[in-house]
Amino acid sequence: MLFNSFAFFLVFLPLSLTGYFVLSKYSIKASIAFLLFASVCFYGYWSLTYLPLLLGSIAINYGVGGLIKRCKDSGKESAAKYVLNAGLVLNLGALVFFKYVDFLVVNVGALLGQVWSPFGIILPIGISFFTFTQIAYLVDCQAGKVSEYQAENYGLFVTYFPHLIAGPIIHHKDMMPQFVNPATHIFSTGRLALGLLIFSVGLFKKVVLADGVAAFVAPVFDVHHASLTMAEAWVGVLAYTFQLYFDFSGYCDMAYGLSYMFGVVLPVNFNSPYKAKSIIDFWRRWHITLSSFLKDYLYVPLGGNRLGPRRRYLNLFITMLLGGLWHGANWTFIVWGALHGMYLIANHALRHLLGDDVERRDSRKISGALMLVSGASLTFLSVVLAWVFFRASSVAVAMEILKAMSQGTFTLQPGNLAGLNRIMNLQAGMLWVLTCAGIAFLTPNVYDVLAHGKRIGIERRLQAQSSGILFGFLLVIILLLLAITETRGVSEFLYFNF
Amino acid sequence: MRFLLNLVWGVMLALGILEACFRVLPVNSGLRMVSTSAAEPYSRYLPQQAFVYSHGWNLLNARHGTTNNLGFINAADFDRPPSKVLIIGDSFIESFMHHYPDTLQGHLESTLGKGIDVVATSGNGLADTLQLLKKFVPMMRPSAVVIFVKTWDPSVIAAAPLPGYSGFFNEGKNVAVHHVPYRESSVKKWVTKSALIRYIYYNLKFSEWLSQAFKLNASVGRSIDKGVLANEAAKKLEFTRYYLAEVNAIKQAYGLHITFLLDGDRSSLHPSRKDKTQASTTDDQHIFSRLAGEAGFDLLDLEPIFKRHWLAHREEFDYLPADGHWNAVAHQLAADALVTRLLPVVRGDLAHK
Repeated sequence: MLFNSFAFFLVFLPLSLTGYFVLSKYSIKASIAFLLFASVCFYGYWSLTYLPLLLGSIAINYGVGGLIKRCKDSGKESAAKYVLNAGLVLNLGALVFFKYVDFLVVNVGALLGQVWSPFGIILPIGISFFTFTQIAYLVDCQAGKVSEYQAENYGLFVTYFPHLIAGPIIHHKDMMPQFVNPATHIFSTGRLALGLLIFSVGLFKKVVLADGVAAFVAPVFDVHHASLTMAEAWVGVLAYTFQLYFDFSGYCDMAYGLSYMFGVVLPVNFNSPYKAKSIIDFWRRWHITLSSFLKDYLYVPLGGNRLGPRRRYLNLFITMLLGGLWHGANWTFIVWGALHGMYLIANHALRHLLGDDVERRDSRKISGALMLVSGASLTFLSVVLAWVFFRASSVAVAMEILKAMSQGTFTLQPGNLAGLNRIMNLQAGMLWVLTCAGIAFLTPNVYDVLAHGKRIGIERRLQAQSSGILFGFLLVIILLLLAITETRGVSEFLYFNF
Repeated sequence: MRFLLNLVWGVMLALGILEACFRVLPVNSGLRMVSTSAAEPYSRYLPQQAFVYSHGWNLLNARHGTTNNLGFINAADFDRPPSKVLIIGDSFIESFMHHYPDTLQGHLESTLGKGIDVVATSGNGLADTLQLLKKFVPMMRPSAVVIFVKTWDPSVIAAAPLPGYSGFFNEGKNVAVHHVPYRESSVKKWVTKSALIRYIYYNLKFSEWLSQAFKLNASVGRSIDKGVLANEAAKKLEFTRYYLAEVNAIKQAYGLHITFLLDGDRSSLHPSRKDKTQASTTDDQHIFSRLAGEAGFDLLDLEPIFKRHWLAHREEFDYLPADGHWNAVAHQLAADALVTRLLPVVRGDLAHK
């Protein structure tokens, strides 16, 4: 069930909210169990086949977490470590099996000069997210950061539907206190209206901006990649740059808004990344919870920056390479990760040369402003070039598009009847790209406006004055946006594929 | 209670703002249609009716226009007979999204001069082209007639018609054409005064989506019997033969040159297109071409023309995935190809007349 569908908005969400808040009046435990049940139904609607996998994964990880705790409580640190390692092997084993076995089979075959057919394993939706969430949980158990072990709370922590399919990757310590806090379970129209407002901002980004600009992506990446004019290649690549941006940003806002309606605040996962002044800054703004996960559970355990600059750069590169691979079993993601690894190394090396405060220099001074503009422009350009690999179906296709971006691989000849609009309406494409760029670069995001966390003050003001008006207003806007997306053919969020 | 009252205010406010926004945008105005009957068994719009066209949620290909004095789009006003060429077709020829000079008929007029008449309405099938032929050939007395046949027309020849359109039916051992009359609903006249409702009805085609969504749910799990399929194929063949015989009779009676303009299967042009035409549709089109050829009709198949142009210039011929109708490139290529067929006919006939 997609957030941007009538089934979700008109049936699932009202039922879930009603059940949750009605039960909350009698028992917090019951309302948590109900939300867990609703979340399992949400996943089951997607894929009944993989529901046992999700439930099995939850049961095993909950058991492993408990075992780690018992080992630690009885002073058996090394046993706890063994149990943790076994848990990690199980989780990563499942992820590798479902996500990478076909890729490995084909590539090992090619390496041996054989043509091996893939098994055709279908990727269970959300596996990358619920696996990483639970890996973080096990590591946190080992680190002694987990103090709460209620089974239904743990189940809800993993399956909680606003984050289950495409994140954000959440931490046990951030969620559990919220689940059991009685204030979370108190219904307020102000909270509902505020959550709905954030949800509708995300829905607009997805339905209008991401899906609108997407029309200029497929002709370039899927159909005409071998013969493109320079303008076509640039419009296609920039269109994808903004499609992905608004698709993911829209998803994150919708997930945040939905969760807010239930009184649970999710971590901010997306913070205007194209406004980044550097690649380091970009990774603090794009898919923030994945970046944090990779830093805390991969980069730091690899040694981080504790083992000298060379090792630090190697660790950065490995982290980004695996981060790329996490997105999918394709060489394009590996190249994309490698590129970002190299960007980060270059960025750190530059900082080392120019000084750590290089990005914080006073922008009112000419040198500071120049540094800011050149840093932001170079960052954006680097990100755009890397997206070519992220979107292309193969490295060869990506190279064709990059070549077209640099010199064009098709020249309009006499006899061309459509002129510039040979494969798509290029002027319209440019207008879409400029509009999206204007919004991405110049407007504040929803967290800048409302700030992150519980906004009790705003909730109260809304509750007292205008929550009904806002609610009614948003209801109409949301229904119209849903009508647009449903009649056009509902489109999945891009991050559902990862 | 206060919350609910405020909620209603919020709904009204949103509806008001949306209505105001859509009023300044080129939302599809829709077109009022003339009521049809057995005596006037063809679909057309009210004559000299101004309209706004745009397609889809993003108001693609927005355009203003006016219907001609007979109630057709992208057609010059009919003055007096004889006309040079009469073009009969559907939405591809009607071509809401193009200005007249960019259409097939516009290009023909710029080459052959005035006297190109068009009777084409969205949704027309082969039975409707027969009705139009019977009605307008005696009235316009053209030298040549072009009948547009889109890829799937032969496949749906046995389908039941919607109100305003005609279909083929078996009457005992004979085949006949019946028309399903159209009457404009008075509700539609009123509700389409709202730009927001027009956006939802014409641009989003919400009612179509709704009925399709329910139909899909109802048809899950059904399978089609092989016997039914065979019966269907025989019916299609019988109706196609009847159709061609009727057209041939008119051709002979009026001494016409009739060209069947066959749309090319654009989905086969490059491998990455996802809208592949079903093999059965292609087979039906081949059967139609063969029978029409055997009956002595002039056939102009656009597929090789599109293919040649695609290989040389890599240009698209439609607006897919948003809209499968021809773009300006396809219109021009079709017109260029038609001119070579029609020029001798038109010249010879004019000299004769």
